[in-house]
Amino acid sequence: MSELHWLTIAEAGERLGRGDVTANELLDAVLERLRETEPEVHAYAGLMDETARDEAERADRELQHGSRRSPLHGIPVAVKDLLYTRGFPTSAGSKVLEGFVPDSDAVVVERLREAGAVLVGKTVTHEFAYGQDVPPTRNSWDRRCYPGGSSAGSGVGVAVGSAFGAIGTDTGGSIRVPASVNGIVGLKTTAGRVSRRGVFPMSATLDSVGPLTRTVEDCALVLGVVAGRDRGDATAIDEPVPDYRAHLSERLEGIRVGVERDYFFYDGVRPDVRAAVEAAIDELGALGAEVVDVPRIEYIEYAAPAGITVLVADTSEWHRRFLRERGDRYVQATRVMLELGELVPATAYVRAQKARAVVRDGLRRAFDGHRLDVLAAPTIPMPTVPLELLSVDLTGSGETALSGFLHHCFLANVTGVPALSVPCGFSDEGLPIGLQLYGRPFGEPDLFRVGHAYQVATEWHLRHPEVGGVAAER
Amino acid sequence: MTVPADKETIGAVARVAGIKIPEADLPSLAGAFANQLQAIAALEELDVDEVEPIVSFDPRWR
Repeated sequence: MSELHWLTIAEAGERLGRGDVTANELLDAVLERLRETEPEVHAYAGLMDETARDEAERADRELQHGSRRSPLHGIPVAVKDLLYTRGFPTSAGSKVLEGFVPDSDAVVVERLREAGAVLVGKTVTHEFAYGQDVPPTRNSWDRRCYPGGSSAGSGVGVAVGSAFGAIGTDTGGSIRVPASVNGIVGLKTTAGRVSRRGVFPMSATLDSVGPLTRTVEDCALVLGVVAGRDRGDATAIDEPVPDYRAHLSERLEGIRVGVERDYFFYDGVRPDVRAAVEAAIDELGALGAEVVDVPRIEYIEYAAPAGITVLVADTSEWHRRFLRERGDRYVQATRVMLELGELVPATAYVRAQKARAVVRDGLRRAFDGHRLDVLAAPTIPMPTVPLELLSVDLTGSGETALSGFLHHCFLANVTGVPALSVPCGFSDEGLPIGLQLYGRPFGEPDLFRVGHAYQVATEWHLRHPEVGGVAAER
Repeated sequence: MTVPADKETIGAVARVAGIKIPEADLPSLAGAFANQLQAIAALEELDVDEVEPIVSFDPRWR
């Protein structure tokens, strides 16, 4: 069996450039892997194999003429089924949109196509990214467990090798959680870094679009293609897009890594997760970073209540018409959350937006006061959970798996900063654990630098799950 | 906030919002509403009198 599907984007790009492999061969490898793994993991909502073949043919023709559009030229990638794809069904995982075929691409999809990427298909999402239903997707390391969400298919597809990289969206951890529980890399981008046009929204101020890949270097390559200004999206910020790969380094001298052990290492963090993340932080120190203990970040405990209040109201506003006209087509758990958002008083909503400013300023003071480049923490407090233990109540006040995810992840959405999840070990039962690196606004280069140095020094990302009858370690 | 999260209250707020809640949704919605009220109550602890909310307003014509 071909092992091409395990190449990184960077490696595949180099081979394409040398003429050692063709885009068609990469596509064949991914489609073969997809056929092996889909019956077990159900990462894809729809395959675009016909147009993918056309795109691969075009990529090969251009390569033969010495033209390579970008580092993604000829690389098979997938996109979450929340993004518009011209002429191809986009359902957002919901019967509400049954039969909907967009007549345009999301800006991110447009940029991938312009960059010469080969779009393999649409990946499974929880219904409208709300994380309330149980999609068919299964965790790549243990089919009895939660695959992450809402970018479940993107995380699992990349982990099992049925895509070299994928696009997801993150409103409260929906990229970082599937990255962590499937042992891959996921980036919640700075708010406004990537256009949201053509992506079904939850919240204009909490949503972000970003990559899921197997390495940090690949994550940098994908972001370099999809990031940047979009005149049609008022939330997309006109900030120059650097050459993210140029900032990658194997040493971390001059980098200050903050560690806050009160909020992020609270009692709910499992001992094996705590140990893996602490070991990863030690490794960053060994690579030259200065590790700095940071006291509890002021007002951090208000991130989740502020975020959830904004999230439910914003999401319900967008679904207002669908809820009234097609309410019966939603999964009940999603519909309940949409009903809930209708009940939030406007004054509470404004107060939550004020609270976000307070939380943001607390985080800024922590970064500035300790001259931090990144803040390190567990991505989530546990490896993953069995599906039956997953509470579907996003607003749960007790300690549930979902409230744990929000505890660790929501801060980035509420304050708009970027956050990267990088594999940093395995649990006692052999499930992946993620290290989360928070950055300053538009601090993606620092996240990539730290994450890449860590991956050069460690081998966690080289392990692959056993799916389709094949275990692998590179 | 001391609003009770019972069916009657939810029904009344839903009428104001202009939505009809299916009977089957009420138990789950009551639980979610109670939790949401706790989140809102938590935010009451903050002094935000002098704080501008995070909203985006750009008066330029594009």
